[in-house]
Amino acid sequence: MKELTALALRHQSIAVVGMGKNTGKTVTVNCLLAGAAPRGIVLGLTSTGRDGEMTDIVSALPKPPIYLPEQAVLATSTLSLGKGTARLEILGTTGIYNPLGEIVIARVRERGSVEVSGPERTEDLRTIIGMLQDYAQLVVVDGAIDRMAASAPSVAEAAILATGAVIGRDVEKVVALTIHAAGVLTLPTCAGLEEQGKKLLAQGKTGVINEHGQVKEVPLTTAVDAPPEILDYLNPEYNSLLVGGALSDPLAELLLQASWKIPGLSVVVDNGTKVFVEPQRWQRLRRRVSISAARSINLIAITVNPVDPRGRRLPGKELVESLQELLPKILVVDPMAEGGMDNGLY
Amino acid sequence: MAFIEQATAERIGLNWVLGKLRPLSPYGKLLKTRMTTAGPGCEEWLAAEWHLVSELLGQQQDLFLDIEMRLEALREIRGTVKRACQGYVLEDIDFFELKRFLDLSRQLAERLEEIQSLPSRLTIPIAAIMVSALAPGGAGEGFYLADSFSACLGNFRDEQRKLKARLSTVRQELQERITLETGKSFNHLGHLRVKKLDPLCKDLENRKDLIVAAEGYAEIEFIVRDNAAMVGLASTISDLEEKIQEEEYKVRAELSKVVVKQRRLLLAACRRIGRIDLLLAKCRLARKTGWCVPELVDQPQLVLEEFVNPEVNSYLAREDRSFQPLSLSLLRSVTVITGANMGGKSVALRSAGLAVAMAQMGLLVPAKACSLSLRDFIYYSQQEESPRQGLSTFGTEIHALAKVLPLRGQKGLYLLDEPARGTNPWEGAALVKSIVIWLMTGDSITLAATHFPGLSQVAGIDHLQVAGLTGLAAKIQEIKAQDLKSLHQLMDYSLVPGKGEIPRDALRVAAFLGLAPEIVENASQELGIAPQEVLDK
Repeated sequence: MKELTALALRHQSIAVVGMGKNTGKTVTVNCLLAGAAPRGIVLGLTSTGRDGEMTDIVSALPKPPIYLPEQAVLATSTLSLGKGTARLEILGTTGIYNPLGEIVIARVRERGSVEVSGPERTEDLRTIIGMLQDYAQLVVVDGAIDRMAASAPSVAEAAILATGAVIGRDVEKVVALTIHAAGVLTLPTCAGLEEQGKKLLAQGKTGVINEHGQVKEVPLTTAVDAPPEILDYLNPEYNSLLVGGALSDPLAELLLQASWKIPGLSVVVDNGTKVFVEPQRWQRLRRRVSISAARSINLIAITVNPVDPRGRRLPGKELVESLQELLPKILVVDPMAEGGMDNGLY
Repeated sequence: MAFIEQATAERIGLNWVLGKLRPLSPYGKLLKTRMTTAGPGCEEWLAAEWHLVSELLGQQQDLFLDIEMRLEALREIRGTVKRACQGYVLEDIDFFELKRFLDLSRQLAERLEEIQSLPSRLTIPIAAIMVSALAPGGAGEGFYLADSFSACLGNFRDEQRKLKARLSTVRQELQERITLETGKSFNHLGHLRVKKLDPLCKDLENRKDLIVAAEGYAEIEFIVRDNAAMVGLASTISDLEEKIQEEEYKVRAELSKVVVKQRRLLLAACRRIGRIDLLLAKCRLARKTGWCVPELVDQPQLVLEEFVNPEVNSYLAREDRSFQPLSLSLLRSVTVITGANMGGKSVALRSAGLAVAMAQMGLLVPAKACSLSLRDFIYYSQQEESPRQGLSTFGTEIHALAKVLPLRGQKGLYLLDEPARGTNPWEGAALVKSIVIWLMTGDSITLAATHFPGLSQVAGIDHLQVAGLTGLAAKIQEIKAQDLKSLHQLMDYSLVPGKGEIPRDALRVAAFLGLAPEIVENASQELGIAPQEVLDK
């Protein structure tokens, strides 16, 4: 576990994203917090939106809260301020709101648990990370992969993916889905994409681009339902599609068909979190179409929770080892494994 | 009658100007929405306001940047103060906002001290009792309900901290002892996990100091069972927490009372900050548009020297052109402008209205010089068709005039843009003539633009004329194409004393605007002019 914190501390901002509920995202965040405190590193914490409920919906047991040590800073909404046991000093307001009120920057004066509910838009998240960095050396974003502001990893310097038994019935299934998610997140960066194309993607628009980098906008409100008009814009010259929104299953299917007519067809998405294609279709798509992202995500680790909320346990060691074997460059750990980590907090 | 109708404010460009007037703080913004015009009788106030703005314009610019940065950072606290006055107990976030407001207003007050010309009625008051009441939270920018706010609070929290530390130590010692005895360690959440097949498992299950927290098919998780001492500690800790929260509430209630006590000073500070903010916004606007301090005269007059209409100028600037400054003297009760189509008659009317409206709102006038007497209202002739009310163009115009013409005894400014153009020229001309004569009595100023002949001969009115396309023959060689752009280049928009006749530029302008040559030729034949004369005159 020391390995995970040591790796994380090399960066200035980290997004922790979970593949679903109960994948141990909070455990991973707590693990980073506990690792930073003894090293004298001041942490900043925020989240994308709020983690729905305080108790687990299946087991009705309280979910693990997030504990913050003294001096740590967090960005959370005004209504979440009084929800934890930590005593907080308010340092500033942000002018950014979520449904629970304005997001404020606060410093922990007496350690304890906190409720974190951060911004919902990617742009706001970027602003807030910047504000937290005024006080903290490492900012951790408690994010989620299945949420609207899911682009947390693209805003942070590095990302950690939390996966667990809850997403599949056996080791093989969990490994397959996790490998798929990791592959999507770490799409290669699109080389030579000009400012105009990047702007188009950031605005969530659709466009086509030729090999000289000339961009033509496709006048569509969304490409998510794969409107066949897209095919009118793709031709052997303009053979690269910029997808500002989500790369969906129907769109992937459309592109698979188009790939027979258009040689060298390629797709550029804004970042890996925008891909929502099921694993098998994704494999076929990648073979026929080259896919890249405008903003790369630096996935540094995967944490594994081998227990699902009903208490069903997959063999943790086997899970970790199979994932590690398939992803040799990414650290894979089970933060709850026995003899885990230094017990720094109350 | 209101000083100005919304439609008129839109047409003369007042709304555009007000859109460019941008206070930075919520207080200035509120004050802007409440801006009204100062009519006759408010001469003194207006003169003081113009003077103040011009004085501020002469100050160091760096100082303003500093002040503006702080104004921009200010947030609304009046809602918070109001809530406190209604008897609510404020939250930490409210105290943070108040502290920040007090901090910023103190900094503003310090900066403003450097401006000598600022009258003392604009000094920002500081709610000193509030400042010191919030002080135990620390001198920094943040707000924290610190132990120092009340002796009780400090004591309770101290005690709770000690107990928490002891509980933590006791639990840790217990865990360590178990680890020592069994050789199994706890993870960071205090869980001890063993495989069910482990021979130790049975022993662990039988231990009095462990309980099962979770169980899977292969593994089992234990946590320490709190002994009597630990349970006692935990309950004391939670009792203390209750007391702490009670005490915190008391502190917040006390602080809220201080807010109520200091409300007058806090609200006065908000108002004055708003005033200063709006004044500085007026300065920024003046710097952008150019400015002069208007001069007030007693007789009903309006004199503009080199007025630059900011709205028109901003549109022209986009096409790399600039506004030809307008000089205009309305010394008698009625002035008539005649001149070429596209010659800027309407712009002259609008500019006259805008100058008066700006001045009476306490803004400086974008001209080299301006002298005026204050007006009760500004009327700009309405000519939009309103089929819903069953009124034609002419009907709308007359309907409005019927209401407004009887007010000639008040100090009004009538801007009549080609009155009666919606009807036949014989009757129209007669009608306009009699309207103009009607407006010669009374305290109003009238500026009318018209194409009707005969008006200029009316005794007792001034006649101005757009210089227009004069000297065309000399310039025509330089012009390659007859289009809108070259028309703008050729047109002299300045107003000169009228020669008593109506200039005939309509056909030339029509030719420039691309009307089919055949039509222009036929029209000139109809008038008995040789077609080439249309352009070569």
